[in-house]
Amino acid sequence: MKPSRRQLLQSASAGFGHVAFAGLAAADAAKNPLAAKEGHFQAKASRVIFLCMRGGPSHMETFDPKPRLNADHGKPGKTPHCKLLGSRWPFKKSGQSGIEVVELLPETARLADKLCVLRGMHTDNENHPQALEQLHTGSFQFVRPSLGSWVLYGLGNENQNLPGFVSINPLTALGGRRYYQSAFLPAACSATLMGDAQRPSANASIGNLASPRLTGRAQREQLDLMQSMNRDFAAKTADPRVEGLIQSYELAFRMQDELPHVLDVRQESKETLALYGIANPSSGTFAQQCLLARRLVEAGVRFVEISHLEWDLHGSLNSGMVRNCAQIDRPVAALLIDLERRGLLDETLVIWGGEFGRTPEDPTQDGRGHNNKGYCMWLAGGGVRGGHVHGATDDHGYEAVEGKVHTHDLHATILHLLGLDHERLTYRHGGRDYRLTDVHGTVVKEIIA
Amino acid sequence: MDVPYDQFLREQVAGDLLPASDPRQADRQRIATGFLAMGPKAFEESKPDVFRMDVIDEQIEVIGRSILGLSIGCARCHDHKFDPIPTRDYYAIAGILGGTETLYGHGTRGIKATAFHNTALQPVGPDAPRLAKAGQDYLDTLQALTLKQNTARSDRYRVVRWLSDAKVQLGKPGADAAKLQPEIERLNALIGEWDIKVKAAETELSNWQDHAPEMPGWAMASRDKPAPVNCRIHVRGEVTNLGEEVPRGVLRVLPNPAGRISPSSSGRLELAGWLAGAKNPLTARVYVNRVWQHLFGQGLVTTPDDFGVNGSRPSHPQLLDYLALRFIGHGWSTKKLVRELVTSRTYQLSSQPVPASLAADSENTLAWRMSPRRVDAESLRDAILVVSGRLNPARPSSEILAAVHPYRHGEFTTFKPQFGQELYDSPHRGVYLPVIRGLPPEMFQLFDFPSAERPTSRRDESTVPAQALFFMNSPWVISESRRATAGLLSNPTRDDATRVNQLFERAFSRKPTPDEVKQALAYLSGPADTAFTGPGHVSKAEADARPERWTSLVQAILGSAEFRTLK
Repeated sequence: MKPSRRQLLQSASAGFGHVAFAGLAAADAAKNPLAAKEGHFQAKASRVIFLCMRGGPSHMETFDPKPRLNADHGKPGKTPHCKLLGSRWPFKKSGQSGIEVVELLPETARLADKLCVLRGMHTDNENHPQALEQLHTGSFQFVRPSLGSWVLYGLGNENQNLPGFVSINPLTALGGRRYYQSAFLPAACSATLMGDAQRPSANASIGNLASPRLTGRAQREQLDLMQSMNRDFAAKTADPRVEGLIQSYELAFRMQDELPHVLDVRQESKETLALYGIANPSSGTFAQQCLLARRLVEAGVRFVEISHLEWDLHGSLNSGMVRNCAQIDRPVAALLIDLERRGLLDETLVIWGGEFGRTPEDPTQDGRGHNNKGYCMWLAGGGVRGGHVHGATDDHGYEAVEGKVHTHDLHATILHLLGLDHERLTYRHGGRDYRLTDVHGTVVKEIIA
Repeated sequence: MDVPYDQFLREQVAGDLLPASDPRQADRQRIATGFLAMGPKAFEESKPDVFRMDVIDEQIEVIGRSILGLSIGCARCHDHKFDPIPTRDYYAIAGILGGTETLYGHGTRGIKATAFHNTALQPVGPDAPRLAKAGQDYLDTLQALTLKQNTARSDRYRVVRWLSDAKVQLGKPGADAAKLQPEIERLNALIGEWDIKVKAAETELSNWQDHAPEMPGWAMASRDKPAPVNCRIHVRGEVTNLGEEVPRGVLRVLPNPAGRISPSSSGRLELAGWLAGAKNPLTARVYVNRVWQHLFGQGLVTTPDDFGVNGSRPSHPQLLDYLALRFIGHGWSTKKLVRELVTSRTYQLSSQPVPASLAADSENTLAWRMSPRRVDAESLRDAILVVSGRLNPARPSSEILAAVHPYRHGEFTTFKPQFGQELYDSPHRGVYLPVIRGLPPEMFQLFDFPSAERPTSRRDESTVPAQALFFMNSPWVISESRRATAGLLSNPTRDDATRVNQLFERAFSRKPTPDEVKQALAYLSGPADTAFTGPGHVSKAEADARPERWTSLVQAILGSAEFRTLK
């Protein structure tokens, strides 16, 4: 006799998690949009950590040295009344690959051979909200699903005890929620937001994760009563969704146990905490986010975004760059080292970058304007070519001129690395098929290992 | 009220242009045109032309999807890929809406980049004629003074940055002190001048705020611009790439033409008449399908926003035609339509499954039974308040937001994100809660409340662990469960079996079976086991008392599948 779905689930419940959910997905994929699925082809990467540098970090002060700009410092720029502004910090050829990295990022520089630097990035809009929205969703005009939502829709989640798309300390004001939402994709593909930008990440968690009144035993007893009523109800109505509801309560019950452990960085060794610089006041908050990101992907979360907020340096470029680089350098390097030594870097795609870059000129001479025409990002792990530079901006850093990669191309490439064809990952809504890349996007083959 | 749907549409789209027999009616009709003004706006957009076309696009998209079931918005950049809607038709309608001034108030006030925004609102109320001019002048000056203050502040700050840069230069080895020192002094003096200017601007603004005149009511609305003009085709949707001019008009593929648009009017009245005309083949069908979906759980056409080529075919085409024609014949009366549907045999079918039917049509496309369905977020919240005994079914006496938000006159769109969940802790029905874009209440976010940034015709029915956690652990659910418990235990003469009956009737609208009563009583007799006692929580003695056990029972009922399902 063919076992019923419930019998199947019950029999699998000892080793619950991936296996049982694969079974559930096969039985009724529509009910659990987060069931783990195969991509379109063999994937290089299976998880993503996106280090979102909000505000638009300067490319000529990080990973795109501009000797000509330094030489022309003080000469008139392209815009009236603006003078060219050279970078104050030298770059150093790093690693065997000799990738040039600014001296403000010594720890990151040590890992140059892991990085695949995209120096020819460009995007459509030069305002923060629109550019950030396009970076996250591909569109700045319309409400569209987030990159993480598409990935979750395409691949599901590996650990059914945890959310599949997590954004730590997101900026939720000013339309920021739009960057993490599923729009027309199933609601379950939305990001789970932990904490917000106003609060330190040490407190980042999700809502209602612990009972404020019952012990685990008492809550189990209460749940048993409810589930018994639910099973009666399922039998009475032949409503297949009730089965999904019953399972979601079981998942929630288990998540209460598992998620706090994943979020508890105190379980890390002293050596690891020191590696990230958790105790260091200058990098503490961002370090904590990096460590949480590693713990989450290690536990099977598909897509994690963390952010650093302060790259919009119109003024105080000097002090701002020193401060920001000090805050991210060690934690980011630690994340790459830690992922690698745990064997996770090969399958985890790490993305670093912001919504755009900066201008090579400025009237104030201690700040830089927004530049969407040329900037840099880097990728690491997850099947990308390490120690590789792709593309270039012009001599002053105004515009991408070689190996140009538009936001759509970046999205297409990220999906490709995850085993998803950006032209086939579609969702029908309002009468037509939608894609993350709309009608655009070319996979940047040159950067794939 | 049963405003005929065709009249409703005319008022929403062109109420300001319709005749009115008295000022109250005129106000009502003007307020209706807020429909065109209240969509989401990209206030960050610094290019006025782009902003203007985005507003028009949002209006076209909402009109197209909600009234006609067509995605006209696709034709902004290219001829519609599937439906016979050329770009030309899009810009014919865009011309009509471009000739309309949308009174949406203002976005973030006092930012130079967005200073082009219209600050006007529609004055309403009996005193409007007397107060409007002074009120609007006040608001305009308020905007100008805020901008002046902020500009002065940022201009001053620029000098501060120059100064700090000069000081850095001076600190470097080999610095040209002879040149830099006077520069630093000059900048210091300049900052002194700016300090005075900034102070003056701040004082001027704050004085102005202290002398607000008596205000009329203000509403978002629409009105015709003095001289309407046709719109030119925006090639690929770009404002910088203008093609030929298109006469103002409507979609040409539909068989009913619009009335002639006179050169001196926007054409909005004709657009409204065309949308709401009895000969428009879509409007009535799209509407009755929505009402059907609302009552039966899924529409005869399962894509209510898309009656185009890519939409799904109706499951019962003749029924849809019949209902649409009856609807028009009955004067577009929503009440008559609802009465006809709910008194039908189909509506009165139970949700009881029939194995043979289930095997033949598991999706219930043919409506052989009532489809069990999820209770939506607002109703779920209301139902919890019914069980706890806290629901106030009356309409709130004033807008809930007005009681919380200390806004100054006219500041309708600058809500700060610091609103907490307390905003939503009202005993009134969920339908009266404010909807602030980007800030839905926690419970609504969890239970598939649609985004307020785009039209949504069908809600998701998601099942995620975060919902389960809400029922298991949310302090709000627990406090409502305690409240329900207090009510159940308030009559000491009742026995527990009677109370269980009472709880089931209130939560499920049915009596419990004998087995269910037995199960509940057995649960109630178990030991309490609370994790947290002491300060801030119940005491140990209270925790062990029966009310806490009752609270757990109520909470289990609220979280159950039956409570969350309409059947």
